[in-house]
Amino acid sequence: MKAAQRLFALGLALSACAPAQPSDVAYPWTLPAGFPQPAVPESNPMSVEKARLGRFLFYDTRLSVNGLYACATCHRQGSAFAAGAPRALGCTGQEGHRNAMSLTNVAYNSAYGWANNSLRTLEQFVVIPLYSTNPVELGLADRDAEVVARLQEDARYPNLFRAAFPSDPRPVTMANVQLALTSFLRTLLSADSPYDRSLAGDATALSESAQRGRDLFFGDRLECYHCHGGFNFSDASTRAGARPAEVNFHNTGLYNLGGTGAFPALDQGLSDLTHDPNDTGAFRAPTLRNIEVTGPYFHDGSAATLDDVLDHYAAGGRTIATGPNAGVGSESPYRSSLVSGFTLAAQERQDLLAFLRSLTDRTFLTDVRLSNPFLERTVSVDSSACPSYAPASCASSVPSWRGQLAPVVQSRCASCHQPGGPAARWPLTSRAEVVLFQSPSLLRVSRCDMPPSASPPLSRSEHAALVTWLSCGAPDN
Amino acid sequence: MRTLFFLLPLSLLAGACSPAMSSDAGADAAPEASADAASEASPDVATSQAVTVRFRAVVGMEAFSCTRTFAGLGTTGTTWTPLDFRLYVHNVRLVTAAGAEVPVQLDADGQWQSADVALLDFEDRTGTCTGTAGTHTSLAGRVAPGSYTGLRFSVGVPFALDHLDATTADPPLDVSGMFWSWAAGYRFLRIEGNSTGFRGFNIHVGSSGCRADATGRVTAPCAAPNVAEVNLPGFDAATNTVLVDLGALTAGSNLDANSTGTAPGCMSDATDPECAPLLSRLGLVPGGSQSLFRLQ
Repeated sequence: MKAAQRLFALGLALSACAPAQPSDVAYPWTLPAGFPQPAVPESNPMSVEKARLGRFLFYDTRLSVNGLYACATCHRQGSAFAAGAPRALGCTGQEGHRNAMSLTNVAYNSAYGWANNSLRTLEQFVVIPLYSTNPVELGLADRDAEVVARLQEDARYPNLFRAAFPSDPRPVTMANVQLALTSFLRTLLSADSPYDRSLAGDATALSESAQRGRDLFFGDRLECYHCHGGFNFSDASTRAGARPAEVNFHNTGLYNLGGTGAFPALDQGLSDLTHDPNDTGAFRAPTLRNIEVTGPYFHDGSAATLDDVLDHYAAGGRTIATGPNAGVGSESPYRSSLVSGFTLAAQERQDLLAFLRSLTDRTFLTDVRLSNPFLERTVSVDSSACPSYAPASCASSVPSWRGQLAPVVQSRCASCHQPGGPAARWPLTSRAEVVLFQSPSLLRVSRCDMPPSASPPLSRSEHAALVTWLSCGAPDN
Repeated sequence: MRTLFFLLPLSLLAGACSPAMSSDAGADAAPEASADAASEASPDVATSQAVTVRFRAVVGMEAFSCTRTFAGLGTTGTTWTPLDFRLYVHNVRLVTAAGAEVPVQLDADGQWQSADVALLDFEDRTGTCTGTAGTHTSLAGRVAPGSYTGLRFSVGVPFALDHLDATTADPPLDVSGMFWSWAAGYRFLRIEGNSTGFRGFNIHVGSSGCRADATGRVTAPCAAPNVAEVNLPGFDAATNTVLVDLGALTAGSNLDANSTGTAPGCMSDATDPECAPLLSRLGLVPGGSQSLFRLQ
């Protein structure tokens, strides 16, 4: 308990000394206790209108050179805006060498990307996915004019841009696209996990096991909180009014090729930028909020599960026995002294995992305000006839995809949502596709807006099962 | 106009036309090194004369074009299908017979040139090229009246402009295809093509080994500025054209292969085997000398 109180007190302290910046004082941040106001550059004050425009842009495939990808393709709401794949695949099929990071609470990052000490604002960072050529992500380098022309084809955008940039006579520009996108990204705030509810006084929010795991997490034996501390579970976090500080980057002993401390050739972490050997294999500590749903883990997605991650830290670095990446990570000369290893009893491991899962914020994963706005429409359904359910307990009994829901989706969704069908643009012929459209599907199904009124409604048990399964992240169970 | 407020004071400080700058201090020296040189360096418009420096991209003896391929490149004599051919230049100087450097004040045209830096763009997005439709193949500027017998310039973006926010930069630093975002700077030189044996051989030269301070700004010189210095004695603006020869640049390179585990082509990493012969022919490693540019 002591450790948790320490964390909470830190959060309050941050909040108390965070003066509102004049530029965005009017923006209605809805921040829970313990969450300071995010730092926002004076050149891009927050506004509801900019965030609204940014939400459309985030989900718009016009923002890729071939019209296939949007930001949301690799940053999926159901995965806490991570990709759910080891390494990101760009719109032209080129695989990057890094894992697409979760955008959870990205407004609080003190640096952006996995290992870059010069990218300190989201405005600077969004240029990379938009314009990078190696790897190509959205592929827009030299295509600015085309994209602007494409956006102007959508009748919604002139009004959205005008509202967001009222004093700009020609508001549809790539510069404004970047400002609006970053404004939306700053609204991706996650603070309603069971852990948060326990901080707010809900004594039932955390299981006994998760409470024991919390004390392990904040204890000095495991040292997790040292890099993953504070309200955002990352030491690379900042807030409005904070003084500039060096961002910490850490080598956790993930690789040690040939005993030299080297990482696989394409990615040495921060030292690729700084040419300083001491930065070899150094990466930023990401937030652990929603960590349950953001795997695979590490900068290259090389750990499939949280169990693998715990193995790595328990060993004080990862040992790879054979192959081109063989090496004993714990013996790397660049490994952080905080990653010194520990032993975990089986029950302790379960407790720690339970605590990490208590950082999952289902509200965030399913918040319709953060979902794909192109799939929203005015819905006129008799809401009294549409059942609603208490929040599902995803830890215990999630209806099974293979046994229960695959046939329902196949017969009741895929008949239209398939290539050649009337809803071919949103295919739902496999679980992978359902996952891709998890958030809008949940919205439409839970409102009884889908299947459409021309079709017979789902049975009450089908409806309950599908809503529960979708709200638990559409697991492959 | 918003962006102008940010950039104007810095561009004044940048003082790209500093006659006092020695070649190895280059543009990537700390910005204060040239801060006081700007005013004395600017030629008086009333008394200065217009000067045009013409460039032409070639591959050996043949004119560069996006609509054809070029045979016989590099150590393997590969055939090159062009994708891109652009570079930034700054710190342009003419040299008197006595050896004195006189700065050329670039004309700001709102697209290709500012007072501080110019983009030379030899690809027109026809054929196999993937860049932008426009081209810019000559520098327009003004220089103090005199008789000149040499041309010098630096390849790249001045340090004071290289590490600012590209999204709000003024022309010619607003070209997204030249952003080198992960390195928080610009590609100084972007040449790309497909060879017989390797698709997407990139030649990207820019500053590397740059360390940001506590505010995230790069204020100290980068470990590898990679600003090539070019000295072309005997230059006469009236009769000469500066040839930019991809064939000469790649003469020592095997363009048909790429070392495993390294960037495709050369992305300014001196430890990448593909970079060694290229950086040498840009004069960016000890013992090397530039052969990309010559006079015709």
